[in-house]
Amino acid sequence: MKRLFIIAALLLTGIMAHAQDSKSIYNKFSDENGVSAVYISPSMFKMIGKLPEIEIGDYGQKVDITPIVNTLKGFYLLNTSDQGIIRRLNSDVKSLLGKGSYELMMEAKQDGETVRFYTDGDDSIVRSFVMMAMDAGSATFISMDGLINRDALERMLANLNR
Amino acid sequence: MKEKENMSMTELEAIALDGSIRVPEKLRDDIRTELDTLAFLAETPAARPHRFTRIASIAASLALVAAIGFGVDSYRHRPKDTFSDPQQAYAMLEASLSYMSSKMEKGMDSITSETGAVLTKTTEIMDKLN
Repeated sequence: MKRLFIIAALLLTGIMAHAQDSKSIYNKFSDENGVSAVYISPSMFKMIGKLPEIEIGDYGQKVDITPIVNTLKGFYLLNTSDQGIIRRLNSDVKSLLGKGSYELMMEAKQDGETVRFYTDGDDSIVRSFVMMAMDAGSATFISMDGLINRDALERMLANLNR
Repeated sequence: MKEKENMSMTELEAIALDGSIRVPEKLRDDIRTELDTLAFLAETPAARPHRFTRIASIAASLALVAAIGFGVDSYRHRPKDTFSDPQQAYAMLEASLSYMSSKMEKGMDSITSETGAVLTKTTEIMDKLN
């Protein structure tokens, strides 16, 4: 009997947890007019991980992103300049960030643009990374899901443009 | 009369089917009571599910159906890869990571400049006090 309850509770918890995630936000907005959308699946990440050269960096310093790529399970990007969609997207992202265990990693405001970085995970592993950038004319939502090493992610993001 | 312990099954059955032999009234009642008791005992809680158990079973079944339904729905509505070529996907990923990195760098710069301004202000106040 107890086992039955535990199974039912787990199933319902799973359903609730999936009710609003990056994938559902992507599915909701990706087909709308005026939205640029990019999705990279886990199988594509596996193929990317097998590419011979997987270092990036614009300023001479090459950064190895293999440790990150190999742990990613999904990449979602949405970009739009439609004010109506921006309002709805912002609302849905707020809902996603409010329901989960996301923490604000960093907020930057400059020249009318607000960029927020959020992570969901623990001290060592990031299960979901979300970036929401908004200015007067456009909004960009980027989400990466997986089991990402926090140190490697932070090091990579800090070094890419240095 | 032959002892009933020594009778064969056929003999016992023949006696049982003999309508002329009357069962004593008390024995009949005792047998009925015994049979009713056995029937009552046979109705164990497991055979007669508790109402709470039944509700829990229904709830668990509904959750299972919902989970299966959600799984099927999720499978059907999974996003389609934007790129079929891993090189293109990689180029996109690189551009996105660089974009995020530049935004993060701006954030770090603004934090540094804000912290610097606060430190300068604090130093000025300390100098005036001294």
